[in-house]
This record gives sequence, C-alpha cells and structure tokens, in this order.
Amino acid sequence: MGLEPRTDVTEEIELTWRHLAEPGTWWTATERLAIADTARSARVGSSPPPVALDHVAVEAAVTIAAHPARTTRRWVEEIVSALGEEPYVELVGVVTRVVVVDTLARLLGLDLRPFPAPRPGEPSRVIPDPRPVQVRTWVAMGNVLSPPRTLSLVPDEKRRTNRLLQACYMTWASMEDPDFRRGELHRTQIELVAAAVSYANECFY
Amino acid sequence: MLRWSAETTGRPIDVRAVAEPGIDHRVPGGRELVALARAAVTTAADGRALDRLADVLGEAAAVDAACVAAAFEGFNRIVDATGLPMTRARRAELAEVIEVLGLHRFPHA
Repeated sequence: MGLEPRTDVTEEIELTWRHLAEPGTWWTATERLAIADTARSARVGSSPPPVALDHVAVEAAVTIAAHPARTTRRWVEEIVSALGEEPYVELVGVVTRVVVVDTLARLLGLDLRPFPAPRPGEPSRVIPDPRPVQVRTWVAMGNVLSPPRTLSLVPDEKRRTNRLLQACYMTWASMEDPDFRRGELHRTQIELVAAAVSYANECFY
Repeated sequence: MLRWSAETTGRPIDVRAVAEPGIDHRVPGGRELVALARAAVTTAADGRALDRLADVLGEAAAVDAACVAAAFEGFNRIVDATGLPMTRARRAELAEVIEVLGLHRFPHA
C-alpha cells in the first residue's frame, strides 16, 4: 500500500534517525549504528552485520530486538556486569527505537530506512544527578515504576525514545482520557491493538 | 487500559478476542485491528493486514493503528528489557483478565 504516517510521526522518525547517528551518552555514533543494524538484522532473521561491537552488546541487541520475552533478571545482570548499567540502558533505547521505526515501515509497505553515516565525537558520559534508585526493577529507574521512566539512567535516550513512543501512541497526558481519539481511532480500538501486540509478544506488563 | 476504556465509555468488548481470533470483538474493525497487531509481531508479515483494515476503517485509521502497533513493539521491549514489574494492586485489578487470557503462563508473569 505504501502509506505515510502523519507529520508528527515522520518528524519524530527523522529526529530518531539523526540522533542514532550522533554520539550518545555511553556509545559512539558508530557503535550506536552497529547496535541499530544488529537489532534490525535480528528482526528480519538475517545474519548480524559485520560490525565492531562487543559480543555481549550484540547478544543484548539481538535478544531485545527479536526475543524480548526471553529476558530474565539474571540475564540482564550478566549483560550489565559486562557492559555497565548505563550503556545497557542506552542500548535498550536504541534497539527500541529501531524496532518501532522498522515495524511501522514494514506495516505500511515502505522500504526500511537506510542508516545514516555516523557523526564524529565522543559519548557525553552524563550521569543524572541524583542517580535514580533501583526498586524492584532489573535496572535503576527511580521509585516511580512506569514505562516512561524505564530509561531514566540515560536522560537523553529516555527523552528521545519517549517522544517517538508518544508520537506513535499518545501523549502521557492523553493516557488519562478513556475517550481519547487518534484521528478516527477511538481509545478502545487503540488499546485493542496495544493488547494484541503485547499478547503476541507474551509481554506480561 | 483496554477494558477500562471500553467500560468507561460504554463500548462493550470481549477481551478474549485478543487471544482467540474466532471471537467477536464487538469493536468496529476489531478482527482487522488484531490481525494488524499480529502482523507487527511476526517477521513473516501479513502484507494484506493494512489493506484489510483500511477497507473497514479507512486509510487514515489504518495508518494510525500501524503507528500504535509499532509503538507497542517498542513498549514491550523497554518493559521486558528493564524488568518493569506489574504492581500488586494492578495485578489484583486485572486478575480476571489474566485468568481469561492465560497470561500467567507468560515468562515474566
């Protein structure tokens, strides 16, 4: 069919793609694009691209992209012990955004977007102050346990990932409205799609 | 969220339809919305899912539904990769849905 999403979504996708190619908080631009490419390959079932990425990072990207329900606390602890907690959280954000953009393209019958060239520069290594505490979750995200807070350890990744998710779903403020409409879609229809995706992914949350 | 929206706005829905394709969703375009959601998750994509939904609800609604499906492919990943738990209160509130859909068999239940 080849339809295009509405403007706010395409703008967020543009921003996401630009951001993927910039140095992140813990990974270089080249590494971020390698994570993105690995996630994409895992989703389409092709071999991982020949990238200079730590094998633990490759395993994390592949698992989260293609088999998210297989994650366990122990698995995350092992990955985090090798990569560090903040780099792992940034990786989760990168994988999440590539999965969102690629899924949308596939559903709309569009070609997958080619990845841009990496921009030079070093990761900022910014640590939020105060650092979020870890309460019952596998990574620290503070004591308010909700999806928008999951990437709190890496504020830049959290902000940009949340922007893309809100553009595709609804703003956090709109979530309070049971009668919300996204164009012609009523909230009940929206949540039916959400529930069916989560069920198919065996996502309990 | 699904049951809450449906009940609050007086739009009856059978939540079993999320898991069982043969059940009447009682939601306009329900069958096609669920088919699109499944196409989002499977790598062997159903290329016609969007067209069939567009035939029922219109192209704009089909595109918006695709955006929602893509967003939840993302939400599911950040939740499962960070170990975000369902609170005890929410779990109690959803006990019936968890039972009806058999969600207790899911890996993170």
